[in-house]
Amino acid sequence: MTAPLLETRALCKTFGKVQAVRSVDLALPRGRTFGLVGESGSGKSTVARLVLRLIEATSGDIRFGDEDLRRLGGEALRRRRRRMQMIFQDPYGSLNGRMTVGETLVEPQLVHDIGTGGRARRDRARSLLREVGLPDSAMDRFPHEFSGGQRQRIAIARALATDPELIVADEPVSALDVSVQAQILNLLGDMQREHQTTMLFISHDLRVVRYVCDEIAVMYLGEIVERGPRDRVYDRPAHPYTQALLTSAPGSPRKDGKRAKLAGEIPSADAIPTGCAFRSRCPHAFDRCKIEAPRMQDVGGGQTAACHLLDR
Amino acid sequence: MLRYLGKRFLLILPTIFVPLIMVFLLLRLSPGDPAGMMLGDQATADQIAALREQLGLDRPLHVQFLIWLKGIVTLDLGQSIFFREPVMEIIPRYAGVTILLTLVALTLAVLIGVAMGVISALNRNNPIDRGVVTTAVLGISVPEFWFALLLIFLFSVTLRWFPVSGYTPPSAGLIAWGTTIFLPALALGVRQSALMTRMMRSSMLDVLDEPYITTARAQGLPERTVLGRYAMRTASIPVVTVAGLSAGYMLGGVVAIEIIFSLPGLGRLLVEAVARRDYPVVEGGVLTIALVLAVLNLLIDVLYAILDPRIRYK
Repeated sequence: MTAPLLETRALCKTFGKVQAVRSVDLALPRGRTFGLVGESGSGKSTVARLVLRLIEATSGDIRFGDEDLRRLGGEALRRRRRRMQMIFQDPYGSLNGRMTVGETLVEPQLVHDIGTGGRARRDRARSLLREVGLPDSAMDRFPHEFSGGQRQRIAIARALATDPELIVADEPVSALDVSVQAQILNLLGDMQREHQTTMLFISHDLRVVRYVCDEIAVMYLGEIVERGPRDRVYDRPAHPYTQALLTSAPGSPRKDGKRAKLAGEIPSADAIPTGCAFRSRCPHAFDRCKIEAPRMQDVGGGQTAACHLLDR
Repeated sequence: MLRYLGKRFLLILPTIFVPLIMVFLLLRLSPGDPAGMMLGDQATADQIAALREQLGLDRPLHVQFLIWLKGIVTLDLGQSIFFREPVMEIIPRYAGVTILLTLVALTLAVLIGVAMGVISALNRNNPIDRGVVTTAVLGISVPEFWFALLLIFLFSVTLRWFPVSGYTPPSAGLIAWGTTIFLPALALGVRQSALMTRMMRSSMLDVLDEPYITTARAQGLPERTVLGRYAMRTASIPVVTVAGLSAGYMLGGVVAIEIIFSLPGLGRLLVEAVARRDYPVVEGGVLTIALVLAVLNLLIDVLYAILDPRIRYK
């Protein structure tokens, strides 16, 4: 396997007393889609912003290619952004409503010196629009004239405008109608294959993640509790949290005629339980979970999980 | 864009017309009679009646109003009762000062307000921000005339940087004009600039939280583009709205400032004309102020369309 495009080591982020991200290790293989799943409050969006340095990590390393991303300052970082783009959840807020779609698509080319002259850039903007399935006439219209799905297409076109190696998509379809979600997911999949982009795909929706991702990491309270190839994780979840998530997802098969319930809410990130963070909601919790935090261990087939049950 | 402007332009008419009716009625319903004022205590009832007839004051109200309206359309605002010369010749002599004063004050207010608001927002909750906000609260609380007196005391009497009062027209040299207009404009604009500071600060803070600002940064746009093109452009729209209101407020506040700084402006002329019951001058003055305000508001509508292109296409 080639070196990963994006790698984080012991990535941490605290906001005051809140430990949003606790020692996250990620490795995104080039050209693949990596899914980060978790409930809201699990810290997955914070990870997205950390790896793009939209917010600064408290500690830990981020490597992008063979560069230490956290060492990059001001102008170098700004130029590096050409190679890593983001798609946000909210297709209404993430587009500047005062710029036409054409301007929105030309702007990233302009700031990163892509193409020569306005005409070439506008041509490229039009071809990007065609690629995401929007007509040329969209160029001179404003975002508010489009539906949510169309806006997300615009956002995707904008992300592609700089020909990035990495796209971080933070819940790109959760604000959309279910009927539109599939179209956007297919579009993202096509784009990723065609441009050989690496994608970090963040979602709370397990069905969506299964549909688009090659590899998956499950986050709980700022930590990764399980990671592995998609089919392994879905077919043989090793961590009780993953098991609970999978069985509580609507449409999932019920074992023993009932669903493994995920009791209660995710605890607040400023009062994380001692030992294993999941023990307060885990149906299998025992004494050791209270005292000792479980380590990630190999369960075979490239799958790892952090649970004391695996020692038994 | 043209349609938008056309519509805005048509809306000017009621903006001018309504104050005119009100002034016309108010003057005629209030006690005092220009004929009596002109002839003095010694005049006989017959003399007064004769003069009233000559001035057209004996006609019914609606006839007087229609005659006057006809005058406006034909650019004839009548004769000043006091100056005994056409109002159309008097007004321009005074209006220039007032319009320039208001424009300079408005410009100062917007510049100060936007700059302070942005500085404040970018320093959210640190001492600089607190300093600006506190100053703005002070600025809002200070009455203009008092601030004007403070300015005169500090800059004219103590430091002697500016003249105490009086006016030099711009034709006599821009610098000389600047020294006579700066303090009055500052006094007139300070309160509005404080309002704009607060408005700009809060709308800037709102905009900076918008996802598209994060997106712009994530795309690698230089920070000055993010702040200037994205954030400030959007954040300044509420300030433009305030500027429109401020213009109206300033055209009212101009009276006190013109009196304090002895500027030969429309505000002072109006106050004096009211005291003299010089109806034509008062009406002409109000018409001028209404026109100036209407034109300023038209400019502000154009500014809206520049700042928010969506408006142009609606």
